[in-house]
Amino acid sequence: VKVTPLTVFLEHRRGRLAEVADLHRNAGINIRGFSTTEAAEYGIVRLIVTDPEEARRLLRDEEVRAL
Amino acid sequence: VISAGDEHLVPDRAGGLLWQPAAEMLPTQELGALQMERLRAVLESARDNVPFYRKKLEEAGVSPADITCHGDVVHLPFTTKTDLRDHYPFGMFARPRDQIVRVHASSGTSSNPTTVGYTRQDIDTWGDLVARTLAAGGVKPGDLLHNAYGYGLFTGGLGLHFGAERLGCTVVPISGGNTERQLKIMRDFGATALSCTPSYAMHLADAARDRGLRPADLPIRVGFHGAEPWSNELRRQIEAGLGIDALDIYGLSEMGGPGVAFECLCKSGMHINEDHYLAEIIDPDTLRPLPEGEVGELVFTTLSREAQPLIRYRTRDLCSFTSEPCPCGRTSARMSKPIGRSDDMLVIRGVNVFPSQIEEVLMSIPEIEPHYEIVVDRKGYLDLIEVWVEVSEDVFAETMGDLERFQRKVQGQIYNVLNIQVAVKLKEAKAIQRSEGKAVRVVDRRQAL
Repeated sequence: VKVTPLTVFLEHRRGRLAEVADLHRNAGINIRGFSTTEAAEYGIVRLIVTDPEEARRLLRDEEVRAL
Repeated sequence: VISAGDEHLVPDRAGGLLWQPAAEMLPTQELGALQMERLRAVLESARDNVPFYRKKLEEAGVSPADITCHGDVVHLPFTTKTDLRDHYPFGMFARPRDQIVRVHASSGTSSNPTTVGYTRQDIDTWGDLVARTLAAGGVKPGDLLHNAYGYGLFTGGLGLHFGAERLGCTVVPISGGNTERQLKIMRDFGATALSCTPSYAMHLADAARDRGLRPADLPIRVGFHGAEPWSNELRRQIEAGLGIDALDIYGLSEMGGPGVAFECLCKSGMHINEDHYLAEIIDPDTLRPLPEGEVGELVFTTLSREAQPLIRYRTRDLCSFTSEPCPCGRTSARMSKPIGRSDDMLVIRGVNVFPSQIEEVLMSIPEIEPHYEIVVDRKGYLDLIEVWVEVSEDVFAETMGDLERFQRKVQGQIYNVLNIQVAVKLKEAKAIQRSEGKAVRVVDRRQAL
């Protein structure tokens, strides 16, 4: 199975990851798995989601940087 | 007329010493006459030797002979930092290069730095003015000055150094940095006087305390601290921490460096070396002179510098004057501590930084969006600059390594231009407040020291 992870840039801020998760839930997109790499002040979150195209569009609308 | 060679240390009436008693206690009227005599010579030299001033004076329709009293000074044109940059490197020199024995330059700039040249005589005069500064704090031959000002193009290190040698005390040219070593040398050599920025003095005091050193373990009596604005509260802390008298000194590279004005042990305003600098306070908007006691922009005209006479140089520092007699016996007017700037210059660890310089670097990096913020803060007593940059789609990459490389690249480019370390912080899009128009995006979180 080919999966395309979304790569998302997030600042270290309490609740920031939850906000991104909420965004997906509200759009009915399931997060099947994720991993994070972090530096002192920011991190990169990789998400495996059920609808990567729609998720990317949502994140863009919120001006969250995602690849 | 004051001539070189009148140096002999005599006590002032505040517990310090006078290095050039005749000049430092010159009756006000004679001082005024001396200033006018020197001013005319400066104007003539500027007109005859500096094309910039010849043009400026012609445009203003003023000839040196027209300036006969202090009130006439308002007819003279101003000089700005931009003028100096425009004539980089040696276009403001009034002497041929083979008579210039030293060149200093202002702290890092992205455009041209401002240079300052000295003849042999200028170096001697500068030494005398700094010797006056040190003597006012009671320093004399036999003392050991631990000089932690930076050496190099910056005027602080070499300025204090030559003044101390001229005065005849022992100088330790330790320069800045390496606090551990500074404390060891200070203690082992038995420093009795200290010169450094006020923030570094406080850093040294904290470091000494952390290592269990008490003020009594360090025989320092007096410190000379300038190049940054500082408060009387910080003075009390430095004095308690190191067990010294902490004195404020004022100078700027354009006027030759330290030695323009200094505190005596009364610690109530800085005595301006008025026999060498004609000082005015003007309204920075109307450019008209302000009455004594009012806060305005400090303007200097050099009265003795051969290599580089400057006429009505706008320092951008805001302060006030008093000509009330000082109990110490010096007859010169005193200036208050500068309380701010009439431009947006930041002083970071003694280095002058204009936000526009940081902006220029950021704008030269294509991936950076035009949204950024410069945050100035203080950790302990050391100033920190953070540059907040939004991560654009161009910057953002798959890996942390790419982001970290980008951070280092921006930090490196800023360091190359400004010679100061900044921390680049990557922020999410929209994290930085949008400002209307071309506001300067600087947040200064430092409390007055």
